[in-house]
Amino acid sequence: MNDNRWKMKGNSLFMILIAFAVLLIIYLMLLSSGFFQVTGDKEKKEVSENMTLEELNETLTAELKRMKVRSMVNRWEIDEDQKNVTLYEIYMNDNQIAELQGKTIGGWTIVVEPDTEYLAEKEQAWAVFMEMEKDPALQISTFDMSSKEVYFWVYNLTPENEALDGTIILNRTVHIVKSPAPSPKDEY
Amino acid sequence: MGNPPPTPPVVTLVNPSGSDLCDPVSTLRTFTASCDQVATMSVYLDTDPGSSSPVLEITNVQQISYTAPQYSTEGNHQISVVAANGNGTGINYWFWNLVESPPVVTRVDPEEQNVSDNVGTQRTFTALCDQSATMTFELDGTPVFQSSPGIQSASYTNSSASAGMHEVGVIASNSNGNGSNHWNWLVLSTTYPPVVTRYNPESQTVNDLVGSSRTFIAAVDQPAIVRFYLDYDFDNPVFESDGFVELASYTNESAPLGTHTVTARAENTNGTGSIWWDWDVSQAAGCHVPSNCGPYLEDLWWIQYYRCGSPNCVGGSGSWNEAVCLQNAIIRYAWAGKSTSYVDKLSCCYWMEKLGCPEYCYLDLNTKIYELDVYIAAVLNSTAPDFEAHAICAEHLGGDMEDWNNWRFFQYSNSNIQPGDPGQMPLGTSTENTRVQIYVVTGIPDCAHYSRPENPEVTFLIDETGDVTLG
Repeated sequence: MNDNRWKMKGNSLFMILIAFAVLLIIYLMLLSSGFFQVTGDKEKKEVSENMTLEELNETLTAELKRMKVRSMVNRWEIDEDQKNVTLYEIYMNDNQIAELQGKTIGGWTIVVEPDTEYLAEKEQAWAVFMEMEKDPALQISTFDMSSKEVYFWVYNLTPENEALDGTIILNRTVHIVKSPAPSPKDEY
Repeated sequence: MGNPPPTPPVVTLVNPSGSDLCDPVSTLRTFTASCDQVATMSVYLDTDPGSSSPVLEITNVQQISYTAPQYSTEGNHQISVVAANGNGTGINYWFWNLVESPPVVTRVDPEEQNVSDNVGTQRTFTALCDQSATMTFELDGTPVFQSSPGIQSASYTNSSASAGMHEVGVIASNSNGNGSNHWNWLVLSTTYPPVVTRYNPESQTVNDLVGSSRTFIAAVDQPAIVRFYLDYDFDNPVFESDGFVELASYTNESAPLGTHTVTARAENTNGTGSIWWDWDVSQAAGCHVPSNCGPYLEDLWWIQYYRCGSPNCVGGSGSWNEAVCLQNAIIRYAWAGKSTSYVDKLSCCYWMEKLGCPEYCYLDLNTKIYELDVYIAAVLNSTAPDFEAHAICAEHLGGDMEDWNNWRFFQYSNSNIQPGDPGQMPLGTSTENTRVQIYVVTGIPDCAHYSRPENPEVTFLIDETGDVTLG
């Protein structure tokens, strides 16, 4: 009788262990399949939807760097009510614009627009500097400009081009520069 | 045999006799037409005779005159004259154009501007004006003939001009202003053909290096039109003198490789004379072939010249320009970088290592080898000795762009520029760090310029000890 009782108790324990093992296997399978990830994502989403401007700035900058277009975003505008970030781009190609347009980062929607004002001003300045290149007295070979500075590479220094050095043309400080003479050996 | 069938009236334009007229605005013009038989003659102004009333109608006449309104604005008008009787109807038209622009005078005979004759030859000059005017001819600035007002064609004949160069001018004047044209008239006392000599270079054989500029000057013993031809292509002169000259020069901005013949041919009414040069153009020693030079073209040192030319790497044209550092950077970017999206511009641009070397296209898709991640960098330091600014190439080697070690800089004969290269990347000074600003290339507008964004991808600062930090 006692033996039978012990036998029954042993069988129950064995069944419990089997059931526990089965449940453990099922749990491990579900865990490895990502079943429980839903909860984690929900937590992440809650965090990202509450992304602060500082976090947004960091995340968006990293994204632009990854896409190698950071320098092509001239400026941003943030609309906190609409949760929009408008990126004013210059020189992005269609694929780059398409990748960013409408994308949501941390609850903020990306809008991409061309920086037409900047491009128009640059075009105007470009035309003026190209016209200056035609003046033989200025000896200009080429130029490199930003919105604040313009470097004129000259063949030779002349009184006419030296007079321009340091002046302001179209809101840009003028630098008159000559190519550094290339070293014959360049042994550095 | 019966009588022949009656013929309809025929309307003839009497004054003006031509049907196409052009007058200045506000011209008061009377139109007169006649008919070959008695008829009712009607004049219509700018309307269809079949469906409108005439502005003037007279019965049983053979001539009619109509004075049109004085229009003060430009426009085209049509004056129709209809003659009708029992034999039928005849019609004729004037097309009358009123203009406000000054008269334009065209040479008709001779059409060419430069004309030559021998002394005593009779020469007639005829010119047309695009609108009615008074036409005046001048010989060397002195009026010699004036037409009546309101004509569109006039001629002047001269058979007694002295030997030498003369200018025959024709001026048309009306209320719209003046218009003029002229002939250069050479009257020769000689009768033998022009004799041409080599003025410079004097020797018949000329040797040059590829790409060099060469001027040929020919002298003629009498005024003549002088044309230069290259390699016997007599249908296509490479130069033509502006009028009759006794000295003419032709400059080839970039000597083409090979053996050539340059011919100078002088022509006037006495005939033609010519002379030629044998022009040997050779290549300099020590020229490099870019495909043997690797991605950084360091063997080429300083690429000295660039120029523009035909698309698709067909060849450059015009004179060579001295290439500064920025153009060297553009050429190297085109060669080694991801530049194929700018092939339209880059395949129109050509560089030459030095005088006497062959020219190469900035970007020839047939010979494109490298697709490195190349940028253009500005190196700036206004206080470093003998330095202010420089343009070089920067290759991103992968990884974080803000890590200096992930970049390689190259320009001229240095394929791995390091801080401390005084000519290319000087150390900072006690007052100013050297800035290295790396820009992505966003466009190639032409052979001499590149386009970039406002901000660099990354800026590095080099201090006076050579330490590099992120700018």
